[in-house]
Amino acid sequence: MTQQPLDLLQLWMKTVITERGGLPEKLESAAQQHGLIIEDVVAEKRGLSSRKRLSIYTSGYVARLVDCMRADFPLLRRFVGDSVFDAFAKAYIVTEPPHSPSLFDLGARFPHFLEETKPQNDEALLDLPAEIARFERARTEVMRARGTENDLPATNLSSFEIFGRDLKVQVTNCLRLLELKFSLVDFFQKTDQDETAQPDARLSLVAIGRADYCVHVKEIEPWQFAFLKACASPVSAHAAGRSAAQQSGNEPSFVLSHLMVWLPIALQFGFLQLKTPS
Amino acid sequence: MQNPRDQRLGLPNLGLGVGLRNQHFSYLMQHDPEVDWFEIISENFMDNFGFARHVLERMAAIRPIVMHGVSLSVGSTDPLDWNYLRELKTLAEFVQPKWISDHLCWTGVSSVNTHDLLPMPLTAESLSHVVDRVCQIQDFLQRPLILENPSTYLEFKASTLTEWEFLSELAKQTGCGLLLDVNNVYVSSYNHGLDAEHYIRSLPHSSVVQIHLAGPSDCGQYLVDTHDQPVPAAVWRLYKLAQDLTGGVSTLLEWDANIPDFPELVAELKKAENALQGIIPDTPLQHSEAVSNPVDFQLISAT
Repeated sequence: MTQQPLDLLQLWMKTVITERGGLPEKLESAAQQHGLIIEDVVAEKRGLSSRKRLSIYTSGYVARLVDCMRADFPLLRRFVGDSVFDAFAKAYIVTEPPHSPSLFDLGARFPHFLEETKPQNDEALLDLPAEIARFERARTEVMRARGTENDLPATNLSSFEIFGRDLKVQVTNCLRLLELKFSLVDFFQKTDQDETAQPDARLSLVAIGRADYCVHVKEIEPWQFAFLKACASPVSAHAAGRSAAQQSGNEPSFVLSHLMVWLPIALQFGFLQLKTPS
Repeated sequence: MQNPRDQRLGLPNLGLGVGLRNQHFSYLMQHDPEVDWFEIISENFMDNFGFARHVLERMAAIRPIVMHGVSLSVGSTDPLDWNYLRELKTLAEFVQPKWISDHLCWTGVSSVNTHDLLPMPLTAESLSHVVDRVCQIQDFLQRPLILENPSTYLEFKASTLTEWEFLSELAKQTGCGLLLDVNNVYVSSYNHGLDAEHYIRSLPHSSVVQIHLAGPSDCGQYLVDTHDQPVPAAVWRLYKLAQDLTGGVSTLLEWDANIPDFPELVAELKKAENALQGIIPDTPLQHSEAVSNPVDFQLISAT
């Protein structure tokens, strides 16, 4: 009877499953690391070889996780095509095997991976895969984060109330703010409607929020971006408006007057929440 | 005849249920569920506070829920993941499930999670290891853990126990319950040349709390647990045998890839009523290219 400790067998099998290369390379690496060869570990029965049996696990591992990546990054997959996307995803999975029990965490570092591994030259288009991935990851996070759906509904906000220094606001937990190198909002909306689109290479500021379980993706102005950043913790709308004016190079009167129109919209899109009754 | 209080660890027979899958959320928010209960994949909801959580809350208000996990990794030689267990317990406080289940397997080691249900070497050492961990988990969750037999594609040369011997001893030593997946019994028995009926007859039937049904795929020399098609006749026959031996336990149809519309899913589930009368659906085993343990049901596409 073969006597091999449980921890050794699990280390061996984990190495075979997650190591780079085809099955021969995987087995060679596992043999070097753990001193076990497949003939010592896996039983053969019914004419089905130990290699074939093990390959069901090795091929299933990659296929399963690539399926997951495809579901998490549909826009990127569509933009680069299946073969390129799968190559990106497989490289990512082999380089950064999953550690979390949640498949939601699998794609968390994918945008960073694409950024780190892109060819190093000045071609702007090479930034695009990582930027699309960043955009899609943020959108998925917004879908799953704690939202404001269970909060008491906010009372209607009078346009003049933003001038009251006691009106406090804060960004919602599900808000994500992005500074992107491409105009991805328009690209996303057109692609979502099956239209052909090519994103422009220009700086865009994006807010993604959620209200009533509906995700809102909007390109916003620099003063709006600065305002939402100023609302990271509870703050009076007036003070955040003044801060946003300073950060964006606008006059305070410009920001405060525009806030009269935009603040109710930001609340409606789930970008912001009121922290004190109006 | 068993004393009813000794059956299923005293847990109820919930009737016929299906998995709560995001592909059916819109339908379920507008229609009567038509099933007796739902099983959720715990990991789909532990870190999800969006629409999925909203649907779960709605369904939990009108139907019993069972939490079924895929990442407990009870057989791993890594330390127990207490963060995971705390999140599991928090979700249980929200859902108030009838029970919590997972698999007799390991999902990874050295902190890597393969998101697969990997087979255990069936040895005395493994048994002792799993017994210890099940006891710790049950103490923490303050309820019996229900463990499922996985589909397996390889056996370790080191194994000295059969899977039914391992599960029987595990149930005896820990008081845990068993989730008998008759499809997995069929798949593993085919792949390893075992007698599926003997497997089911050899289990401690009073420990069986729930049955899983599913359709596997014929890959020529072996079967794969793909959950992507109707339940074949051979699995229905094992289901009838298991229900006769256990005296009746909760039934759950798993369909996790190429997921059909909800009414079609319910129609497949209702075949269980005929099977219990001995009218076995003559569905053939089919070929498909899906992977084992598909994850479609764990994904919420952003599109």
